[in-house]
Amino acid sequence: MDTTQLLKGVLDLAVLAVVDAEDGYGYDVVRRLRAGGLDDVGDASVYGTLRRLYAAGALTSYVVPSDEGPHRKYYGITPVGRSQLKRQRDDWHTFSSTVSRILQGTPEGATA
Amino acid sequence: MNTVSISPEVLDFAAAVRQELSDLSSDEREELVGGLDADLSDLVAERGTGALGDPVEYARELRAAAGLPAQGRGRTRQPLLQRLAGLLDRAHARWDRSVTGLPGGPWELLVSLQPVWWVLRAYVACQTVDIVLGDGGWDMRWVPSLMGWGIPVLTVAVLVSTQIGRGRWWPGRTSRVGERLLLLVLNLFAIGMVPVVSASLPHLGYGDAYLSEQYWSDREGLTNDGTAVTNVFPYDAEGRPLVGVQLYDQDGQPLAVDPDLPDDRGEVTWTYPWTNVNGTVWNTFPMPVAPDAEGFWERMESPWTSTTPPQLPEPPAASVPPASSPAVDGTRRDRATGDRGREQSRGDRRG
Repeated sequence: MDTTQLLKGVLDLAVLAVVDAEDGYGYDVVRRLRAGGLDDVGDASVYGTLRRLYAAGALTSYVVPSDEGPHRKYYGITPVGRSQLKRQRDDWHTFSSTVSRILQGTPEGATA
Repeated sequence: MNTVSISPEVLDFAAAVRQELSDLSSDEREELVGGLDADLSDLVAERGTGALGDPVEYARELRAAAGLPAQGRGRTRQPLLQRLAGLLDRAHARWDRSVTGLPGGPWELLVSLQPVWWVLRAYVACQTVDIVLGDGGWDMRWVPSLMGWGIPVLTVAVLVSTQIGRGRWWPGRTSRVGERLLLLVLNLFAIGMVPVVSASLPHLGYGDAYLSEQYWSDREGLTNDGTAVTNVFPYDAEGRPLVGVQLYDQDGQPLAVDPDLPDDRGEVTWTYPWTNVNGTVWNTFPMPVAPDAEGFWERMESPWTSTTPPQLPEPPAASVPPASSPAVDGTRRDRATGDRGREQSRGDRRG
């Protein structure tokens, strides 16, 4: 299973976590995700996720005018987003430890 | 919006992405691409214009991540490939559903015999190559000859087939539609060639006939277009049947028939040759034949004194159309005259 599949499941969670740490605009979020180690994440996926989370009420957005370049659309987290983040974080911990346990239980090389 | 500092590549790319999302309402589209110019500019600033990629792909990814339905009409080659992949997957799933869980588990049995198929398809592939390269035509042996390389090539083929079957070498887990289709086609071709190859292999039951054919074809005898000649019916130029014609070929050898060759129906006609001072001759026609199967053993002893002696067979036609040739005219029988004499001597020198 390559990381694309894995990533799709947790992109919401990752984006929420990044925005929760600090408000950011689109490419800023991408940059932070990549800096965190998710090299494979696609720009468009992140933007689309931001939009979706915004539509769901988990994020809020505001535009910051700029003198040198184009205006930037910043995203910030909402209370709805925070509770979603907490819930998904717990789910992730449970899920990943379960999978790790299963992987340790089976002999090396056997396919699931 | 301050557009001065946005590069043209970014503007083009953003415009293309907007184009791809034209089926959305302007509000939705604006939500998606509102900050696109700025973000793309950052992307280009950091990684150069080469990082922009394909706007169609970008729009598709953006749309998917945003949870919006994909564009209605498939337009480019990519949707076709995806449809094909989906078709293959669905067909595969439907097949699995129908064959698993049958009483007796025939499919599971076949699956456990998969390695046998890997070996068999490699063998069929080698035999097919053997047919195509034409060593023995359709007469094949159990091991493909392949100009002496049969055994090593067969070994390599089995190895390759097994590794493919295990997914080790190709196509692997992340299989693209094209590769899956190719593998499917190759497998179907191999399945189709199995009956062809097995029909061409020598069968144990017919082994005797095969050997006998070799034996018969080594013996001499007249053949006409591949079928054996067992008797000859001569006619003269006027079309009247002749009896007692002795034939010789261009080298002076008697034109003999092989008495034991079966005819088209596989039956051996029992013919009784003429004799001259030296013994039996097989070049004098037509040869008397046994009237029927009855009295066979009696005729074996002494045919001419038996109760059912051999008889001259009826010629195929009471008469045939007269034939002529400029080398011979109607008065050929008269060789004593001057003209004929000159022709005769000329003919002699030629002969």
